[in-house]
Amino acid sequence: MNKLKRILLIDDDFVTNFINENLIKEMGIAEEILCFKNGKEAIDFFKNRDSSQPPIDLVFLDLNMPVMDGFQFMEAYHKLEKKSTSEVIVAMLTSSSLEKEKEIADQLGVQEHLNKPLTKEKINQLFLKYYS
Amino acid sequence: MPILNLYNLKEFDSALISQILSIYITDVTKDIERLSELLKSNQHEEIRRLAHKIVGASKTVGATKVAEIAEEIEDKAEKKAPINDIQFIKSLNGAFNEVKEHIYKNDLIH
Repeated sequence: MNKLKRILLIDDDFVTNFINENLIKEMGIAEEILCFKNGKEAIDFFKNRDSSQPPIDLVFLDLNMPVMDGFQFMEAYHKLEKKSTSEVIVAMLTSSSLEKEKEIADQLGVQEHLNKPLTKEKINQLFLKYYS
Repeated sequence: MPILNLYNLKEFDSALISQILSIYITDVTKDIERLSELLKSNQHEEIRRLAHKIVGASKTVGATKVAEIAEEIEDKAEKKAPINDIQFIKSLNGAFNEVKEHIYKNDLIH
């Protein structure tokens, strides 16, 4: 399995971010894991990073968050992405199973839908699909 | 159905599981207290968001019964349906107390 440079975890629930960060660390699949508690924090990070920094390969995104939710994050992210050539896989990670939300997320460019909890098996499948 | 299924945490050693469960109890205790207040005021969007947060954390640690009750509250708030706050908070607290009892009885936090 290739090691990714950077994985972002965006979730307002500290427990979820903490567990997922440790799961990814345990699997040894990323050089760096960054956690954000809402979309705005993550967008600010995208805005402020420069080209000398390692690329972001994968984002695990919760949908329901205060301040800036997952949908708003995707809209803001696409506005920023026009200036960038980097390819980032965005995987929606949520406890909600509403079809309406999945459809909107699809339209906003989310590549994968995953139900919580994130597991080693789900990450392995994601890697097989996008990074093998 | 077990009150706490630690299958999702199987990759972690007991020290990390202890840390995770300790954070879960602290966070969800605060969230349930806040939810109890919100349920009295019928602020559907805030209730939905907070219930959703409890669902996510509880599913992640494997507290399935807590997740189910919080999901029911989330669903009702989403539909802006009337919520019997006393009944829901009693059920949620009951399930959460069972989780805590299970954790302490099995010495999962040390």
